[in-house]
Amino acid sequence: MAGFSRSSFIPKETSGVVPNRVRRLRTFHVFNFIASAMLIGALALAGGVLYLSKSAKSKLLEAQQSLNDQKNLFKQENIDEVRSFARRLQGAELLIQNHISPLWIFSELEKETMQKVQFSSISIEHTPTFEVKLTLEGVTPEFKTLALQEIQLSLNSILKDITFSQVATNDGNASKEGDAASASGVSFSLEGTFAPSRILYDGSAHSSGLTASNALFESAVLGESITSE
Amino acid sequence: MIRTITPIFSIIIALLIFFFYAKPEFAIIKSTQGEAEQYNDAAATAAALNTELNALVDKKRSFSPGDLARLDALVPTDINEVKILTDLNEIARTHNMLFGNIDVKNSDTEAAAIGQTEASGQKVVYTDFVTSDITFSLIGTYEQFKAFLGDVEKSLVLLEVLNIEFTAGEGNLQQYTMTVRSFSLPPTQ
Repeated sequence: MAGFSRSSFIPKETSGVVPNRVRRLRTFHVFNFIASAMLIGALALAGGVLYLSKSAKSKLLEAQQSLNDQKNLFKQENIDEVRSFARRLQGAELLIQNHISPLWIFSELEKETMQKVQFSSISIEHTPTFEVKLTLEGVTPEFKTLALQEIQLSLNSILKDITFSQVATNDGNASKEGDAASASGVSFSLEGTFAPSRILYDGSAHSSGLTASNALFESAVLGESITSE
Repeated sequence: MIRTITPIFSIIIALLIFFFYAKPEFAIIKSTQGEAEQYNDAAATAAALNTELNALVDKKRSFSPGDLARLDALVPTDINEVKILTDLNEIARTHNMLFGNIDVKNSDTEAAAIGQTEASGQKVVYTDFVTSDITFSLIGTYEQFKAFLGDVEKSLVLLEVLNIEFTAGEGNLQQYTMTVRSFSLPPTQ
């Protein structure tokens, strides 16, 4: 039994039974096959690559031609025309957006000035896109009115950085000279700034006098009105 | 001997073909294809831009001559000071005001030209404009002055009021000194 279990029914090859020549020959054939396959594969790959290369080059030429065609379709005069027009539209928009209405200033001043306060001179300095500086000189009969005027103006959100200066009392003699600024009472100077954004032109009339003038202006040389629309 | 060498040579040739032709050539093909794709994309973008440009040209040409004239008046290519002064005088006359003491100051056109070159293709800024500041005096009543001012501020030839000065006198008639700025936008170089 022990002898059975040790031995196999498959006959064992003893080294040297299969001739070396036969084994070498089989190995050589596989190697030869692999080599041939590799060579054929490489040649096929080269062919494919050559085809792809030609195809890619032709597609590139086509694409370049297509781009050139598109490029030739552009007309420089059209580009210049549109660019110039867009630039002018932008310019017009910029000007209209920053166009202030000085009449607003006068309307606001008329609204906010107390009855006993008399302005004798006014100076408005406008730096486009920046600010509008207002300098006023005036006279009022008493300090109390001036204080009330200061409060009144400070409550108005349109005028900012209000400064009263050169406050002085005038005697009645000065008024003989006929200058309103030197009438008896308290003379003062006022400075403030308007934010241009708050006094932009919006096409509306700010005073009743303007309505009458509009009719006259219809026939004036400048002729037409602008609006921000 | 030859039988042994032939497959070896075959393998060597196959490897040479792969490494020295197919692989580098494939890389070139990929790059060429990428380049072609970029050209195609560029051509497609150019076509889209061309369509957009044509649409814009059509849109521009659809503006009525009246609108174009208004734009010309609002943003002229050069400032006609004489016409502006004539117009201002005419408005003053319309409101029964006296017009005089004229002074005209032009902005530095060279600086504006430099600004344009720099801003070419970008948004228009205030420095791109060539300006002309016109100072003049008016004599009239306060109501007349306000009416004049109302007409100036809504004038189509845009006049930006830079400065107003006046002092109240004894009578109704007062002298007003005023500076207005007119603008022009010269074409880009």
